[in-house]
Amino acid sequence: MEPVISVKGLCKAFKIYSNPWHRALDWMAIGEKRFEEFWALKDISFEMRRGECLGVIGPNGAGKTTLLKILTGVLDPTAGVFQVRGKVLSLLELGTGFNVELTGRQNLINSACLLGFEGRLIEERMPQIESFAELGDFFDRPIKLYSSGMYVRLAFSMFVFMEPEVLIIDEALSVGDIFFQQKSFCKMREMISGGNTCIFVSHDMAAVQYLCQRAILLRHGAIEFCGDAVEAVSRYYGATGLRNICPPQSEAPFDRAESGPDAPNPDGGLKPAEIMARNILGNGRRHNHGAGGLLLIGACVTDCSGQSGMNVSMLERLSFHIIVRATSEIIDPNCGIHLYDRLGNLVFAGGARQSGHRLPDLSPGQELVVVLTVQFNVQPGEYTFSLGAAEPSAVGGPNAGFLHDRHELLGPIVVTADPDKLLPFYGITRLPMALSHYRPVEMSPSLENLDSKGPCESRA
Amino acid sequence: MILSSWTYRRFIWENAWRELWFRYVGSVMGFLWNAIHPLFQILIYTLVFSQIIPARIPNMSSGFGFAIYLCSGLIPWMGFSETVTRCTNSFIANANYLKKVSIPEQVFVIQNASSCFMNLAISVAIFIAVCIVLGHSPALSWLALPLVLVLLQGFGFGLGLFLGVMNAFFRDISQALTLFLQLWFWITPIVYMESVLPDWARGMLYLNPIFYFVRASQNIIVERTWPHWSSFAIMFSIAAGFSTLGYLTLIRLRSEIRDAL
Repeated sequence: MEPVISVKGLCKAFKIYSNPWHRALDWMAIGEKRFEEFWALKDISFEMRRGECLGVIGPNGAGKTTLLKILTGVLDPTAGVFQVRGKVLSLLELGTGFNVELTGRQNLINSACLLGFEGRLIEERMPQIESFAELGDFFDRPIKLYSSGMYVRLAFSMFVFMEPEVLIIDEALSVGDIFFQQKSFCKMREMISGGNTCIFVSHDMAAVQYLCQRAILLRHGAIEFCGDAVEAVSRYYGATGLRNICPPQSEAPFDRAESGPDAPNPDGGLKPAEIMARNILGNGRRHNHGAGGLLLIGACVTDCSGQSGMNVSMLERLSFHIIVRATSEIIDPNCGIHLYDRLGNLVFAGGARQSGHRLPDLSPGQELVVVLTVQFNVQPGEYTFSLGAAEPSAVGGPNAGFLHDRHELLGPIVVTADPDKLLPFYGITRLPMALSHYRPVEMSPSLENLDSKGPCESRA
Repeated sequence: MILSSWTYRRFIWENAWRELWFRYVGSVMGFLWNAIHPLFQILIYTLVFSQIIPARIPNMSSGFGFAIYLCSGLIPWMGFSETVTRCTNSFIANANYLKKVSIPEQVFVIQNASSCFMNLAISVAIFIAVCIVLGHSPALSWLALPLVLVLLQGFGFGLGLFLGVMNAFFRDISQALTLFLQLWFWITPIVYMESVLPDWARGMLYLNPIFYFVRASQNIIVERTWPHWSSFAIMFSIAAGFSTLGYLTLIRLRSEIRDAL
């Protein structure tokens, strides 16, 4: 079968001129080129077949929108070729043509013309669009009276009934009320199974996994991964925490024999060099602050199998390996973690002192590896964390600390749950809960039982 | 370019037309304002230059002579300068669309030029009506007026297209244009007669492209004579030349416009 979309070696460079008039000099070929090139896309190649839904994911600025704009013909590629068979329609471009003074109906005709459709076509489909949009009387009222949800309803309804061969859908779909969202997701699945080809760009990873079989992970304008959507999503999360950190040595295969001179690891923990190779502490883009008497040199996160990663199932553990180095005399050092949910709530914070673990005093130059193992008794979702090192504060009571170094906004840690299984709890976190039961008729004898056996935990 | 714009003819037409309707939306007179504005302006000039500052022009007995002369140059000029200004800004004003929809760039320029042309046509029609009411009877030569106006707008469109493309990269252009248009207005014999100029300045007029259009319009309306065929040839060359310039500039820089917006 012929591919519907084939993209080969697509590159896009934006010319950045510090002074707009330099462009004129370049046109006249006076002197050497004065612009800086920004490569928004580098050597993108992929193919899509009919009826496929491809996810495009990546952090902000990875080039997702630029790629879509090239595919819809808004921007010209700097190099490379692409071919799209059939009419492309992007939800990105819907609603842009809307004039607030016109009614919904007039706007649909106008937008269809803007997109290069024959006006006849939309007039024929108008009854279907009208009934799908469910706008009632508002359909014939000026859209300045619309709520933002109604606006999206109108745009999406048009999108569906213009029957493009290739649909491009972006974040816009997440506007609108939950009922229309469900309806539009349903409609999209229907369109995809009906043979439409679809490109879905989103930060909503659950939606990407739901709609797409394949996904492209873009980073810094290049394809980092292209393949199974679930893997792409997990790579996206996995790599996000390590972003812009990876020191060059982490690329090289790690050889245990070479790290002989390192400090002994009595309990079989990671060697400092191993931690450094997987270091997640930032190099400037992250925020770090503190007095500096006790520094975090490096840290890494491993799951229960010892692999680097920040994906964890509910109730599973992650270990945080932290190397600290004293630059001055430190008595009773503390080293801990803060965990925040996606709304910025502090879910948990704790360290050595809170666990009743006394770390050895350090003199300048001495290093220590601290391993914190945290069980994620929290609801599924994304979390960020910060790591810090401190000393007990001279003033302020036992809960005050003197901060030496703290690295903020690390992560994200993704806590997952198997949707097919019963969740062990609901809510923000799992509180220790005891449970017992008895039959009311046997009340008096069982009271003794309760005393002797005590409450038993709900789960092992 | 013409072919790709043809697909969008309905968009162009409806939006140009709608602009006339919606400019005064919400007002009681609505669409009529499109006619009231030019009518009022013409009447003011007529009143001022016939009653308050009576100015005479040679070979015309009518007291309204100067007012008619003024309007026959001023109305085409205003149409032209509106076209150039709006076409120059059309890429910036429609950046929203250009950044999201793969519509040919020139569609917006054509739409603006069409809407300006409709405005101009309304003004001219009212002016003709006023002339007749004032006793300046029509002549067969007036039939040449539409052709002059079409060529004039062709010139305005070409220049606007060129400046519009440039303006996408150099925003200073639209600012400089407003100043330049004022200067241009005063170096063209619109509010004064060609005959008041010293000889050297009169010779320079032939370097001013808009002069040919303004003079043709004045000849047709005031003197009721057909412009010489050579002046049509010149006007046609100017319109075609500037349209080609605009077109070539667009072709050359098309791929960069949306990056710069």
